[in-house]
Amino acid sequence: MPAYSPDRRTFLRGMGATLATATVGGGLLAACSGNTTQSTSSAGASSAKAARGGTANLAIQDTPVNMDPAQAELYSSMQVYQNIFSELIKVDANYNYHPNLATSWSQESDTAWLFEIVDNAVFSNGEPVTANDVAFTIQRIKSQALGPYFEFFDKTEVINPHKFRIHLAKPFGPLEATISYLLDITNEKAIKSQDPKTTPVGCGPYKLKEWVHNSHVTLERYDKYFKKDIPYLDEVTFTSVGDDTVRLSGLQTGQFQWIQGVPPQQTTTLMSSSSIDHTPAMPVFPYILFLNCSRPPFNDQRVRQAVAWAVDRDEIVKLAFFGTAVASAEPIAKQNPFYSGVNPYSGGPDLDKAKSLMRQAGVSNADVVFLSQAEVPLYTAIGQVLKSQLAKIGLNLNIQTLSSAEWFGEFSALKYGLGVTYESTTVDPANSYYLDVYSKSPFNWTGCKSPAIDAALQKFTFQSDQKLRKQYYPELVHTVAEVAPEIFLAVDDQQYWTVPALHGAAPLPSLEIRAEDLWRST
Amino acid sequence: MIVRRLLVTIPMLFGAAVIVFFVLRLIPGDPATAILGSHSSPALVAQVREDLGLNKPIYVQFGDWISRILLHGNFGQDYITSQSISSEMASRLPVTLELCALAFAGSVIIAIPAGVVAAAHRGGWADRIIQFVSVVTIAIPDFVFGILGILLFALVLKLVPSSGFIPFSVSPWENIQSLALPAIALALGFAGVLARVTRSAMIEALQADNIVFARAVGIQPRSIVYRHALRSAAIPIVTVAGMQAGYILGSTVVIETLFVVPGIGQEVVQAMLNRDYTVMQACVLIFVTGFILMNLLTDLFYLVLNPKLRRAAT
Repeated sequence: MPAYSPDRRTFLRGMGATLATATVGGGLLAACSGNTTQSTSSAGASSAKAARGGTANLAIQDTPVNMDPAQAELYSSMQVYQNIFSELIKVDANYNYHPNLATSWSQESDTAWLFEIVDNAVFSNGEPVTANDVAFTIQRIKSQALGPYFEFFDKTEVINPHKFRIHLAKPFGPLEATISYLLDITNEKAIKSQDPKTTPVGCGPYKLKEWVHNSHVTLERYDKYFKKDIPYLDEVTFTSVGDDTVRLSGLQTGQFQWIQGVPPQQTTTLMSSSSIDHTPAMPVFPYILFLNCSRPPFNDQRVRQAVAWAVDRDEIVKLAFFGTAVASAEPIAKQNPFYSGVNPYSGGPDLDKAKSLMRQAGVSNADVVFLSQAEVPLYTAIGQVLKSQLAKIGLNLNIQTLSSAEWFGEFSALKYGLGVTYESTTVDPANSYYLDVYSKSPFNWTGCKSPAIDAALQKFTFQSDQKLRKQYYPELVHTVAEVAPEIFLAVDDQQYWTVPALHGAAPLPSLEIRAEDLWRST
Repeated sequence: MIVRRLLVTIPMLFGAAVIVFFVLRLIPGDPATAILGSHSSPALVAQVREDLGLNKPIYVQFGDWISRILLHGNFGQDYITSQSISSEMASRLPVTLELCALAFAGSVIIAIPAGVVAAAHRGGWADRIIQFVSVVTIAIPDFVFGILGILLFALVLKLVPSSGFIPFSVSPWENIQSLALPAIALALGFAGVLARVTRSAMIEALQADNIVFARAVGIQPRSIVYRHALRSAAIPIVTVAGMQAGYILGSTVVIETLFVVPGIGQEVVQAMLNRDYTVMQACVLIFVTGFILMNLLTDLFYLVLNPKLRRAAT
């Protein structure tokens, strides 16, 4: 083998290659960090007039699985089909309710609400929208996956084709919230003649054009939408892109015009980018620590309270969320009209109080299984922070990461010690508390049966006077915090990122992606 | 011999179906709770299990499934999406096959000449560079190449899209563009292995007596390498290429998910997460069939390359 002795030509070739590599590498680094030119533009703050026409490709994190609004198994499905169907009322970013299909509604008594709907709404199969469809939708949904949310809807009395009355089994405070994001009106004829999972027939701003499973869903403008002059875009495509980096790259190259979910570490950098717009961040996803009250050590309320005293929410927000969440001791943040700010553990973390409670309970050096989901790395990150926090009071967390299928099975069978999950139903906090901790709720995965919580929940949930509910809410927050079957950690932000040419994007407490508001400038 | 090999494939496929069916059911996690997720009340879980036939004895479930495939060519229905699994597979399989074909062709076109050059210039600069690059491509996972490729070719150079798939029937050029990055990511690791195998096989072939004789009688070096030595080295190259082609098929699981390519690989990931047994069974069975067929084609290709084997076969 000859010894290596490069001549001048060989050496220069090598230097050229090195220079090229350095240039590409530098370009890569620059691209990854984004532009640093200051920009404070936000997607919804354009002063230009909304223009009709154009298309937009929206990259969502998950994959829609079916288009039946009565199933709503996944948030990703709702994001799409809520643009095909219409609700009676809509909620805005300030938690105010506005007419949609319903032109007016009023509470006649504690258990009766009168609604009037538009007379020009037509389903995409040509059938007019009538009060009978509303009655059918409510009746159907009660026997489907979303049934528990409509448990107290007794019957729907059709007065005339455009007027009906909802009778409740008991006063139900979250009625407006529930129908604003969970009651998408369906057509009886369409449901009975076609598979609603694959062939959605709605009266919303768009109708289904193409659906390639696990890839994308394309909606096209529905010309008989009952609202004049909208939607603006001719077509909207929802593309499922699970990887944060791929989604962000697609936005930066213009392949996508709207994305949700960027790597949280890059949020600060991206917010100052001149080539990417962003909406304000709205905290809407509560992250909740569930404690299994059916087995030691958390069958002892003192141990649960010790955990509540030991948890450092600010540290969790900083380390697990990279600051893209707000610490909260309830399922909502300050923007929600119900927000109370109540926290029996304010001033915490207080390790002395926590250790004292642990001593009183006679628990020390206990091993606890923390269940995490492989598909949600954030759960594991939270678990790791909690592990270090709770080790200080003698609780040794063993983090077990399972696939979501196993996780749901273990959780619902109460085979865990601690677990974290997030919820998306935060328009009205009753929809969170009632399902999670009411003793008879089929979704009470804490195993806690507390008469005090039940009483506070009954008082808050089954009260139709919203002013009174606001007075009762702090008591509910306090009671749940005292019993501590669940501990609220933080409320995660919902924020959207768009190209500058796309306007109208805004996060909403109902988590809708309201495509009818989107428009493109030239 | 071909007929005999094809007949042997049938019990192999049946055995694979048995293994696939029962092994998938060993995976922890209840499909009903996976489907229902946070809405999994006991009553609903029971209903879904009944709908899925999960309450039947397992041998009855297997009998129902295999008879549906053999008698009706029907893989069943996806419970979550209500889609016919057969039609889903029919729409996804061509996408995966196109991706695999591009990756395979690209890697063979690059790797075999690279291996030949490395062997022919053994110890030289070309050999060292090719060995280094092939080790790097083997060591680095394909999804890492995928991410780097997105950052460079999509984000910086803007040559290709970062994700998605355009069918060939819609736009041939955009189809190639949409599959370029995924195919390169798939091909690189395979190319590294193939290049190294080619190099080793060629080094051995170039030391054979017939090559020494060819050099002695003054046959052109290029002819010696490409006409004589390469032919001798072809058997191990084809063997590895055939095996690696099957692994390319399996690697589509990660690459299709990363690049949002609607193929079989992406489908099996979703089915796995949802514990959708019927879809998983169909996808895994397709992968197994592909692997078996690739091995069969490899064996048949030996007959083309080696006349002795043809005579032995007949």
